[in-house]
Amino acid sequence: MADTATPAKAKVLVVDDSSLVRLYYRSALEIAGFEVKQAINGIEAMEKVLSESFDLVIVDVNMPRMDGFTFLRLLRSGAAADVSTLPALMISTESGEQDMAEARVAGANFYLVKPVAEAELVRHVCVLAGVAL
Amino acid sequence: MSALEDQFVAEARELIRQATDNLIALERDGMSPERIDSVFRAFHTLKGSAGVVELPAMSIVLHAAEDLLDSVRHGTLGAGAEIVDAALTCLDQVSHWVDTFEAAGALPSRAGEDSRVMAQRLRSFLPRRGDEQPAASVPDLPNDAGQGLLPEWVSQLIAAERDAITSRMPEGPMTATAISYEPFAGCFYNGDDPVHLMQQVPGLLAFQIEPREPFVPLADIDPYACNLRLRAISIGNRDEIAALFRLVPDQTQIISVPPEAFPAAEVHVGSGNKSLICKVIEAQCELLRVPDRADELAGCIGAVARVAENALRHGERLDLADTVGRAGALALAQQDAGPLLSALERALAAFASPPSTAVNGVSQAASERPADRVLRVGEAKIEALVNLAGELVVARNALSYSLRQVERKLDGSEVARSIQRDRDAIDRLVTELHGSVLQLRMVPVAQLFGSFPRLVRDVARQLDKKVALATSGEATEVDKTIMDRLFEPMVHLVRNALDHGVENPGQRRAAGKSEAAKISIAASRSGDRLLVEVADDGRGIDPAVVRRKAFERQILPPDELAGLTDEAAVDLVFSAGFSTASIVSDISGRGFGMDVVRTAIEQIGGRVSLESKVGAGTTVRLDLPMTIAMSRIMVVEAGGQSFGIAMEAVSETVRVPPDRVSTIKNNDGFVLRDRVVPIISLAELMKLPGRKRDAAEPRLLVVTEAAGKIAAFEIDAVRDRLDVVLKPMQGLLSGARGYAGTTLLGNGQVLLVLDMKEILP
Repeated sequence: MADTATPAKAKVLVVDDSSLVRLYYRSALEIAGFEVKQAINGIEAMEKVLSESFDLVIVDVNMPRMDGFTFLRLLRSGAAADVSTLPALMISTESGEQDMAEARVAGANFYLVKPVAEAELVRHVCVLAGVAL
Repeated sequence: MSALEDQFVAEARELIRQATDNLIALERDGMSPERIDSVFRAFHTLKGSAGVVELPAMSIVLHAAEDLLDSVRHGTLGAGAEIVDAALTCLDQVSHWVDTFEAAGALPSRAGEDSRVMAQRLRSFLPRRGDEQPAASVPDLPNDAGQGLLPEWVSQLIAAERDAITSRMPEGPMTATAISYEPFAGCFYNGDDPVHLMQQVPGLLAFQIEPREPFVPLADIDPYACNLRLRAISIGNRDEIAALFRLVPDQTQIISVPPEAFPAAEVHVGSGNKSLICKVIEAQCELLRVPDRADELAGCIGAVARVAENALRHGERLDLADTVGRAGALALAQQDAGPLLSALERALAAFASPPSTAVNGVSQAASERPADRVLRVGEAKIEALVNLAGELVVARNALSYSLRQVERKLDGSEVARSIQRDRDAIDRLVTELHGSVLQLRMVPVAQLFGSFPRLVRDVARQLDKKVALATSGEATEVDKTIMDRLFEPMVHLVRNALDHGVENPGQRRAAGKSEAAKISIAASRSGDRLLVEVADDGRGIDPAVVRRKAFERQILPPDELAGLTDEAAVDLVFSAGFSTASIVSDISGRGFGMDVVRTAIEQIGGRVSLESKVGAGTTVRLDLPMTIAMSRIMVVEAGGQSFGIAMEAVSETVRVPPDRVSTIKNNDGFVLRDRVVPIISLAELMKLPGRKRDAAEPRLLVVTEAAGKIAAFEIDAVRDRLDVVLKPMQGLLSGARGYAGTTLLGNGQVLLVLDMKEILP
């Protein structure tokens, strides 16, 4: 858990079924100096986190085949420490307390409600990944 | 006060001292570029620091003084006495404000008014240029009607510097000022320094510098022509900004920018991130509070620790991140979120309060000074440490006593020997610790001597005398307590020398001396004593005059006076109520004389002696202990008198009902925890009339133990517990047994302190 603070940039996995949302996140983050990988649902995300290491995963709630909650629960109960402790930012269209509580139970480190402005996204990612702005 | 404010106070005092010293040197030795530079820098840094801790009144005064000094620095103004006086007066005011700020956390309510008056006075020295226009007439474009009327460059500047502005912008709506400064091409010839001027703008949010015209090819460039346009957005005081640019009104535009011209405050970065970091850490706490985790527990603990560490690292609190990381590892090992949760809560509290070191402005300024690598520790903390070390010494003594009891019971056993070994080790450590802790209070006398150049200068001017002060031995170290108590007597001695010792220039010329008198203050170390000498080359003390005064004031009868040697006669100046000044002057105080000095010095265990030669001068020598050896005593009353008993010797004070007292062979005694303790009436022992006692009244006893003996002294009352400096018995009493010494009480009364080892039967 020590090596997340590469000061220049960090590696982020963006998981969302909407290509528009992924593009939006990616451009904002890449301009801010992050390396960005993408996945379109929980299953693909799981394959990605198991095959390469990330500093943060940004995950949507509602996705086909495997939703964000399930993905997070699976992630957190994994055996490999460097994977199961991956910091997770959940971004959802739902602003209800119940969804936030469920995100907490699933193991999301932070929860934002869409739409998220570019600057806001970058700010949160910097804090969660422990890098300077 | 916050750590930042503490730092400010300490730094301000140092800068004030530095500036004062240099100003006086400047006046004494004439103009020197290094000195005036150093004074200027001190004022400049001080002004900056005052800005950091948000004391605008202080900044305004210092700013005016800085302008004044800048003129001196550039030779437009001479460093005359009135300028030095004005700068010193300014420092006095600032020093006073610093004191108030330290005590009350704010400047006095009238500081704003005072600062304006003083700033005006300081500026009155500045040369007025013919073309100068008053600050108030800086052109003010009609711009208050709203955003629509803002010149385009303002909107462009705000748009271009959006990030810088939003990150530095304070919360809430604010009115800012936009500045555009296009210096004339020939501005350098006027002595203008555009960039420097811009840097002085208070509260800068954004700053842009660009060529006014596209630059010509390098070969054709005129390096002496200024081709710059400087633009800035500031939230500083508009009047202050206008005053800054008062000399270049035709080259500047200063425009008020209404709050709505700025981007929404929502996109805060910088300071706003602090609250985000707190929010993130809080969210991690929430995550840990989710009950009944099974398989995900380890993952969640790990992820929480990782994110919290990241957030703290982002907030540049590596220390807290480290702590959280360790707590995370512990939580993982125990499979319990508890340790991590409490670490996060603590980190959150620590993060929310300002860090002690990560402050930029002032601590950076402090680190620029290479000398003085010292750790500042509050006096109270050291005092607490000294007290603890003192208590440890007492506890060690108690251990020795217990050991002796063990030895009696288990003579020669392994246990006793083992305890003895441990006692010896502790003994050594405690003695060393006590010594090192006392060392913490040692400070160089330079701190004390530093106040005298100013004092001598001011008093000499007041008296129209010429005096050169020389100090030596500034590095000699002495206990802070001694130094603090030395200040007043020293001031007194120096004032005496100035007032009575030193002649005025005319008299000195007539006596064939140089016009300027010499006063020297020297410190040196002799064994474990500190010697301080205050010497002048003035008129000296005439024994004949002293004899006459002593006679007039009836200090000694005439026959005794006649029998005194000249030296002994001169020593009479230490008698109470003696003063050789024919006119009671404002300088050396009224009715205070050398007797006050002597009392003060003797209170700290020192001695004063004086040597004087008529026409050649006077030297006063102070012989002082390096440290104050304080003894803790209990003041008790018996037979209508007070006595001191060293606390180390006191085991306890008890009230014993008369029926528990039994008389054995005319001696009273009582049983205290299986031991028979003899009762001794302190009044009787001291041959004082005993107090009549009610038969049923319980008897007040001080149980004392020393040198393996025990006894209970009957007393009438316990009055006080004091830390005092013991003076050994002197003169006729020096042979008296049973006394550890005497001490002066606050009311001037002499208290006899008993030596229990001698008194115990």
